[in-house]
Parts: sequence; C-alpha cells; structure tokens
Amino acid sequence: MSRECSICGRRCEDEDELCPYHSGALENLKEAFVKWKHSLGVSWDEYLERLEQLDTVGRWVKEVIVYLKDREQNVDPTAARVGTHD
Amino acid sequence: MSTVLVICEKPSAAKRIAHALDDNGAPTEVKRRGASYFQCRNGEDTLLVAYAKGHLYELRQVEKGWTYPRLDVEWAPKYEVVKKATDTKAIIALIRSLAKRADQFIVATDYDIEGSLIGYLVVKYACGADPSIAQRMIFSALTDKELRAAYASRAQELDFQLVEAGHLRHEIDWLYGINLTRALTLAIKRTAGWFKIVSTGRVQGPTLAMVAARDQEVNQFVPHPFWSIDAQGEWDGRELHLKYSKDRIDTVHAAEEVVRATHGQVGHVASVRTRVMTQKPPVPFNLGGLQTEAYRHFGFKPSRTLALAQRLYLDALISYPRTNNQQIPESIDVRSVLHGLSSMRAYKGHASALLSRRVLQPTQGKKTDPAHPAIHPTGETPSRRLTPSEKRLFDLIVKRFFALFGPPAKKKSVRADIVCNDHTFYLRGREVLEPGWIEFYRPYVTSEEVEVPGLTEGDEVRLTRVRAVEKYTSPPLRFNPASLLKSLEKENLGTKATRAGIVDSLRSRGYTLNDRFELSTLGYAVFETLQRHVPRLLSVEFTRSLEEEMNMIQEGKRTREEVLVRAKEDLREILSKFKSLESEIGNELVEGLQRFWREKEEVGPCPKCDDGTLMIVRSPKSGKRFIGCSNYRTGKCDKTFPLPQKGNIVVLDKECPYCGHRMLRITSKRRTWETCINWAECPGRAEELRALEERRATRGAKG
Repeated sequence: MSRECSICGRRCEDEDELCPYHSGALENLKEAFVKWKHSLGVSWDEYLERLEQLDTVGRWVKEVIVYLKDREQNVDPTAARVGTHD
Repeated sequence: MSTVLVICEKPSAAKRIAHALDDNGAPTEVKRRGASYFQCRNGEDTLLVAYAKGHLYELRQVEKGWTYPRLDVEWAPKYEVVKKATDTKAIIALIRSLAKRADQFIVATDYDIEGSLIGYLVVKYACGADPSIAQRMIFSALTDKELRAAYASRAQELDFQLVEAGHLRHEIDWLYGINLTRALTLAIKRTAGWFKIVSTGRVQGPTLAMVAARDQEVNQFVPHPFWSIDAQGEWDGRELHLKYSKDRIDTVHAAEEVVRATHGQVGHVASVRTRVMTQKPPVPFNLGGLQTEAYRHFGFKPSRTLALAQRLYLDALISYPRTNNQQIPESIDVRSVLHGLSSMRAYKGHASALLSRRVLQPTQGKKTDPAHPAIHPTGETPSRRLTPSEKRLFDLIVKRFFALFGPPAKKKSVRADIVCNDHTFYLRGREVLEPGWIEFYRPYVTSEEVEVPGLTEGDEVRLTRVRAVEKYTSPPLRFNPASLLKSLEKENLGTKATRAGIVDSLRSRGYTLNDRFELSTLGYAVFETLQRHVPRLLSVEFTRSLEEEMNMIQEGKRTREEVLVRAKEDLREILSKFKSLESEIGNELVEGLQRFWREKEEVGPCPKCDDGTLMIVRSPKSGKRFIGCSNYRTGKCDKTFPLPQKGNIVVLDKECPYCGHRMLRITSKRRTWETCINWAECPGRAEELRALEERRATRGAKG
C-alpha cells in the first residue's frame, strides 16, 4: 500500500512523502529558487516569505510552502533542514 | 401529377420551405394530433412538407441490462429511448400516415452528417420506404430563392457517404460513451455501493486531459522576478513616456545599473524610423471563428453562439452556421445580399458604399468545406423583433461580411531611438493613414493611435525620471470556453457541431468549477484514474486517429463496417482491462469522490474554537442549510453562519478584505455573486444591508 500525501491525502509514488502534484510543485519551487537567488540574492526563507505574498503563485506551491514551514517548526532544531535548497 | 413528401429538420425550416415551394407562397398548415405539416402546390404536384424535431430515432442496446460491455445497438423511436421526448411520437405517427399517400420522398434537412442521417432514418423507419429512391434538396440558406433552386436541381439520391459517416459517428459515440460511463459508475457502485454517474466519452476524455494539464501548470507555477524600466523624458517642454530597449532585465543589479547610468542624464535621438504597413481584412467567418469572436466581444459561450446562429439561420437571415469554410464562393450573389442589407437603416450607409464599387472581391480564408460556404448574411430583413443577443450576433456577422470587401488598412508606425550612456530608450507611435476595412468592422476592431512628437536625429532628450519596476512572470492562462474550443479544433477533436457541447459537458458534469476551467477534485479523480489505468482514453492521438477514419468514410475511402469493427475491437480491449482492474479503479474513484464531497462542504477553520472545522450542513429539522462548526456534536463549539437557501455554493480560496472570513461564490439561476460567510455582520456589507432593509421597508409600506 502506497503512502498518502502529507498535504492532500492523495496516493504517493513509492516512498515519497508527497503526491506527484505536490512533488512537482516542490521541484518547481526548488528550481525557481536558483533564479530568485541569482536575481535578488535572497535566502531560502526570504524566498518563501515573498512567494507567500504573491497571488500568482500556484495553489499547490503555496500548500507546499505551508507544509515546509510547519515541518521546519516541528523538527528538532539540531536535525538537518528540509529540502535541498541551500 | 405526384404527391411528394418533403422531410425537413425542424418546424420553422418546414414552414420556410413550404412557403418557398408553394406556387402562391401560401401553404396550408394541417394540424393533426399534436403535430402538423404544410400542404402546398408546386406545378402539377402536391407537396406535403413534414418536419422532424432533430433526431426522431436514437440508438439503444439490443441486449438488456445496465452493465457493460454492450456492443450491439439498433435504432429505435426517440420516445422509446428518451422518456421526455414524448412529442416525437405524434410526429412519427403523422409522417407514417403521410408516407402512405406519397409516391416520392425528398429529404430537405440540413446538408451535413446529422441532417443527412435524420432524413435517412425518417425515410427508412417512419416512412417505411427504401432510402435509395429518396431525393435530396441541398441548400445553405433558407431564402425563397435558394430553396426554389435547391428543389429544381435536387439530387436524385441521398448523400449516402454523409449518412454512413453520421451513422458511424453515432454508433461509436454511443459505444464509447455508454460503456465507459457504465464502467466508471459500476466500479464505484461495486466498491462503495453508491450510485453516482461518472461519465467519460471518446472526446470528453482527451478534453479533460487538456484541461487537467493546464490546471496542473497553473497550480505548480512559481513566478520568477524580473525588472522593467519605467522612464520619462523631456523634449521641447513636452513630457515623453519612453520604453527601454529590453522588456525584461533579469537581475536587480542590472536594473539598478540602468537607473544609475541614465536618471537625470541627457540622451540624444539616434534615429527616427518610419514604416508604412498594410493590414488585410479578416477572413470570412466559419463556426469556430464566429464563436471565438462572439466570446471576445460579447462573452457568449460557444454553445450559446451556435444556438443563436441556428435561430438566425432558421429565420433565413444568415447562411448555414455549422461550417468550417472560410470562403465566400462566386456562386453567392454578394451584390444582391448587399442590396438586401441596404434596406436596413443600420446598414444602409456601408452597404450602399460597397454597392457603388464596380468590383466586389471578398477576402478569402484558407479553410474550405464543400458542403457550405462561410457564414454570411442572406440580405433578408428580420421578420420579427430579434432578441438583444441575436441582434448583436447578427450585427457582428453583417459587419464582418462588409469588412471582407473593404480595402486593406494603411497604418504608419514611427520609432525614435534615444541613446543615453550606451542605453537605448525608444518612443513608438502609430497612426492610421487609411482605415480601409476597419471602417466597416467597427466597433469590433479598434485602431489605437499614439502620437509621436516631431523628434529629429540629434535632438536632446533629458531623462527626468528613470526607475526600475520589479515584476513577476505570469502563470499560463486557464482555458475559457472559446480557447478550449479552439484547442479542440486545432487538435481535430470532435466536429464543428459537437465541440461546443463537449466544452459545456465538463462543467455540467462537475469536472470543472467555473468558466475558467479550474479542475474540480472530481475532475482530478476521474482524470487520475483514467491516466493510471486506461491512458488511451485520454489520448488525443487515439481519438484523432478514430476521427480521421470517420472522415475517410465521408470521403468514400473507408466503409462504415471496417471502421466499426476496429473501433469495437479497441473498445473491447479497453473494457476487458477495465473489468480486471475494477476494484482498484473503484477504490480510487471513491477516494476522489469522498475528497470532492468533503471539499464541497468544508469551509475552513472555525474562528471561534481552536480545532473545529466550519462545514456546510443542513438542519435535520427544517432542512435549511447553514455553516456550523464540526465541534458542535461534542458540545464544544456552537458557532454558526447563515447561508442563502437557494443556489449552488462554492467555497473560494480567498478571504474577505473587510472581515477576513472565507469567501463564497453563489450561483442562482443566471446570477452569480461572491460574499463572505460573515455577510450578515461584515462591515463591508453594512451599507448594502441597510439599503436592502430600506427597500424591504418601502415595499412593505406600499403593500
């Protein structure tokens, strides 16, 4: 039995934590960060903050941002950070 | 002396045909048991002009049972298949009795695959005659002149290739639509015991896939920042709005560098270039073109445009609308059309101006259709008061027709480049030198003019303000009814007559949420399930290849039997795969449906208690709906909000700008409005509610 997406409850592929839609949104989020960093020199956290304010950000991307932030808050501060953004 | 039974597609068409073919232009309408026909004299002959009401016969399965596969079908009277179609019983009975008196049969339905099939089925089943003896009237407009010519030169046999193509299209659409819908619906029933119709079809599947792909792009979109330069200059005491040579600058540093190097500096006019261009008139309307333009100017959905155009056609005001043709053939007497239009006050000026020309050569498009010309006015004057929507569409068609004969428009464009410290800014102006066809097509075309002051090379321009503006890339546009229809046309999916219905069906089946074609959770559930287990049903290529084979029948290159055998084999294979995966498919659809229903009811977190969720619920006592907290049952929270009792409610993903509560969209009949769940106490609505109370009080006092 495959896992359920931590965000929407849809089925995940293999051992993924997120469904293909939210995984795709996370991928786009990571890819776009490279451009944002080049354009504005922002940090990952600043990047997420700024995206949250923009209306044109996709619905699933916004849900991924909330998910990442929640996880960040609940995780042991000594543990590794979520994602591979830095 | 013969008695001829003329079979028309609709009552209004029958009336027009009878009027045109009667020697005195005064046919008699004979009413009999809930139906009627027109009797007229034509020379020595007696004509009995009868009508269908669209299809009088429908396909039904031979073997009984609401299950699948069901691959054998037969034609049956519509009233036996569609319970509501009771009016067809009297019509079929009347045609049957008229056929006994007739010694000749003429099919005078619309000249396309549907019309040809309607006529064929009536001759074969209602008249009980051999279709090979029937004749065919072919026309593209319901004007007296064209109908008389069509009668005089009628074909000696039916257009059997069109009949076969129509027959096959109905069979394949029935087989795929019915079997696949039953497969999906029964998968849910066998998994959860619910009977919820979940449909798909041969064209609906790929259409759903197109919408889903776009919806995913939008939902996964991450904007990228970029900068544009906003600049103002001063020349000869005048303020100039300048553009920077690059539309987009990728980094904030590069944008700031432009500002630093140019703000407050003096630039020089490096060049002034003038270009004169000609713009040809637009091409004649085919159905797709008309639907796109009507959506652009009036917001009419494609299905509405088709319905309105059909009414104008039945009133003989325009030619047959279900055409793909973008050409006005020479056989159309455009001068007489313009004469007719010149008798209408609104069109007198333009029509007379065109009539004064010696040569009238319309612009032609690329697409052709041997059956009908491009959509054009017939020159007839409306015999009744047109509705506002009909009037608008008619005006668009008439003005487009005028524009075809207009000369090309001549426009001048000027560009002045201003260089300042190696950075180039420019100023662009546009001017219409000769409006040409634009004059005829107003208000459906605008020609924005921008004046360019008389700058000359070497002039100094002081850049009084230069600033970098941060912007973001935009997500792809969601489909609207017109753009989705255009995509279907481009992919060669469906036909000009069926596409509008397919576009509407996504919404009516609950797969999309609104006219922006945002996919609903139910739409996703169906899409995902099909994608995982039977991706062929979503494939554009699969549907298109079937479509091409069906077109070959029309061209006489394949037979109906050959294509049908192959289509049935494909379907059998799909259905057997479906059956083997039924429980898995059922589980996925049930999960999706549960998500869909939950989302429809869930409003968001409760503002009063910590962990409750606001839900749309119905009172078991009064049956009235309202919003309540999920913690009500445990006695923890009693927060409620009132709701309007009528209309469809959609919870929106946005908050009220006045009170911060969740917004709702309510659609009741034709009206749609947005409000927050706190509407009774929202400060943003205080004024509105006060005005409403006053109106009620005034009404009460009057009553």
